[in-house]
Amino acid sequence: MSESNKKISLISSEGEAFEVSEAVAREFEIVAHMLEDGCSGSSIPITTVDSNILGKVIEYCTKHVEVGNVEGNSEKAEKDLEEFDKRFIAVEMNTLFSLILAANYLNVKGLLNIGCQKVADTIKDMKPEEVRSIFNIENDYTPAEEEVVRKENEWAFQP
Amino acid sequence: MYLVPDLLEEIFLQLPLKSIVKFRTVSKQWRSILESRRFEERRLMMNAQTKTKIMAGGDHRNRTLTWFKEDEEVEIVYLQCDVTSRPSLSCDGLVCIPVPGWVNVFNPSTGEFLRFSSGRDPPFPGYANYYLGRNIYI
Repeated sequence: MSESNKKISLISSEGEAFEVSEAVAREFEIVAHMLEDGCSGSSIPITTVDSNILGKVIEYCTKHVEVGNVEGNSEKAEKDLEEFDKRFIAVEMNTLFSLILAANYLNVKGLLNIGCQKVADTIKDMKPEEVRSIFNIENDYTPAEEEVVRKENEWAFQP
Repeated sequence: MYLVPDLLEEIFLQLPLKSIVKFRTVSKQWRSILESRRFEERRLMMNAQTKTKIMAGGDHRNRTLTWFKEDEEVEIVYLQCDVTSRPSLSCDGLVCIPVPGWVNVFNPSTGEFLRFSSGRDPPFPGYANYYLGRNIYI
């Protein structure tokens, strides 16, 4: 039996088990490191990620492992993967933030990158007030300070 | 939803320059990340690999336009200048334009402009040497 047929259970914060192949689990760099460090257990608790988000991260990694395994036809496969990424990341802001946090914790670099890119694309044309509400940021400038910093950066507010 | 500064930085790296400047006004924390040396260094490294920017001198109003050369995005900035004040040095996207008595340093991306007195004019016009560089250890 080859290595890649080995199954590993990833346990979400609610205690739900997701059975995945070792190749998929290794896409989580944090898991890959655990396995390399000799952690041979077949179930790994992922205590900071809930079932909904863990399921999505696994879906992402599974697709990327599948496409990575197909030989030849690389241009089409690459395009398919791009389309998949685009659809996958088209989620509302809170889910997007949760995916970024999970990708960062689990160290899934590709997912972290497309997540950050998606947030940047979403907010780039927004007003600072809109950005504050999305990120739940309190405006810590006094009105006078805000006026000054706004004046200094005036050109960026012109259409 | 709270994102730690390191993750905010990852998002900011994907933003165009105009948004970066605009978002300095969101909060003091955002401003400190966006103006940090580390962020600027990382952004510079990233853009050096991905984007070509060309500056052209000429008798135009300052304006920017973008077009595509094959697959690559090239941005062109026109500068209003005449033959006596040509850009002569550049470093990390800044250009230096010496004129008699003054040295002008210009950032074509943001439009920021600084002017320094160049001290005494050289005894033989055209024999002055100027250098533009960056201290990376500050």
